[in-house]
Amino acid sequence: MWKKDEVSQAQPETAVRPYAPAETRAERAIIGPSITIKGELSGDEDLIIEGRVEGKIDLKQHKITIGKKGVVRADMHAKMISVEGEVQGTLSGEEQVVLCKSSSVRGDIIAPRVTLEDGAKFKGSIDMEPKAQDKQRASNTVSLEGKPPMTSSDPGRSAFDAPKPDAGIKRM
Amino acid sequence: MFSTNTSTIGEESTEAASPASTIQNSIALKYLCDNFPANKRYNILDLGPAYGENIAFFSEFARKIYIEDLRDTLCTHDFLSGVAETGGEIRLNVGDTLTAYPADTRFDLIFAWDLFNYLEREPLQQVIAWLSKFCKTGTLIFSLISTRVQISQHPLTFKILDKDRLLYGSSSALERPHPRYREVALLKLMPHFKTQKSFLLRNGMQEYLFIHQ
Repeated sequence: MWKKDEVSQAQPETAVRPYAPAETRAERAIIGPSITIKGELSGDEDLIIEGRVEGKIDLKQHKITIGKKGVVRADMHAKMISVEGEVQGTLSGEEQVVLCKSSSVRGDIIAPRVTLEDGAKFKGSIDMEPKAQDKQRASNTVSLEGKPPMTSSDPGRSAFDAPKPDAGIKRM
Repeated sequence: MFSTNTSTIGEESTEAASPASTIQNSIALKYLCDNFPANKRYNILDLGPAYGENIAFFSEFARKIYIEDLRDTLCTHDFLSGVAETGGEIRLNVGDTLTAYPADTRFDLIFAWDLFNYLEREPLQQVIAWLSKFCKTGTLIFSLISTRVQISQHPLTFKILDKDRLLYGSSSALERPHPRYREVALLKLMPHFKTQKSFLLRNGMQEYLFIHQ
């Protein structure tokens, strides 16, 4: 059902392998356009979805790519998630979630880095606050450099409550 | 961190120069930014579409960002015409179109953009009632109310360029009349809110910051 896509430099590409690899010898599984899977997926290699998946996908150390024809109704957890097709569910990316211009996503995104291309359709929530254990690591990255420590929102108080004279949003 | 890719940024320049897009100052946004405690993180609801520029801006101070994309709902389902293909009247069904967030969800900031201009009194009341469920004392709504007789056929798009400027985008050259809400009338439809600040812009837009009591 899943096609292994182990490509070496010596092998010429064929028409049945449309996903020309930028990185050679990378192990990737492909769910083709005519394939429908219902259930739980986990594994130790990157995954490209051009078919339909319903359920749950867990590839914590790898990348999930939902191609333009891909339709996913699932909660996903991966190192990186890239969406060109249609997704409904929670997208949890250890490093990054990318919504390409052709994507249509409804659900929640949890990732320290989120990229949204013009044209991407998204409805849901984006949570970029790293987990407590990741804060130290995140504070050393370029993306969060120079920002004050993250704190939880304070229910019951206005954003304008007791504004500090020096609390102007210079960061904004 | 939220980022847009390089090609997207390149497209912005082109778009900024197109006749359908104009750059406008935003006094309310600047006021908001200048008075916003920088040492906190906030829950932000954007009723408009998800744009990389806006999310990047929000991500500087957001704990969590919620995107409702009510504009897409209004345009896609043709609520703006008020007439269904079958000829019957269609109405915005808030229960079907707006997200049922968990009951303990509370927003600090809500960006309504110009969407209130495209809602008649009844659906606007429904939207406000829905919003109020997720507001707390001090929640702010940023809204742009047109003072002109005619408005664009479809809601405009807004991209935050920086804390002083917005890029207005229009997808239609056609215009339509609108409810022309006066502040008093508007506040009657928003029983739990009062005006925190308002600024009349040269382009005929009145920027409002409504605060939840």
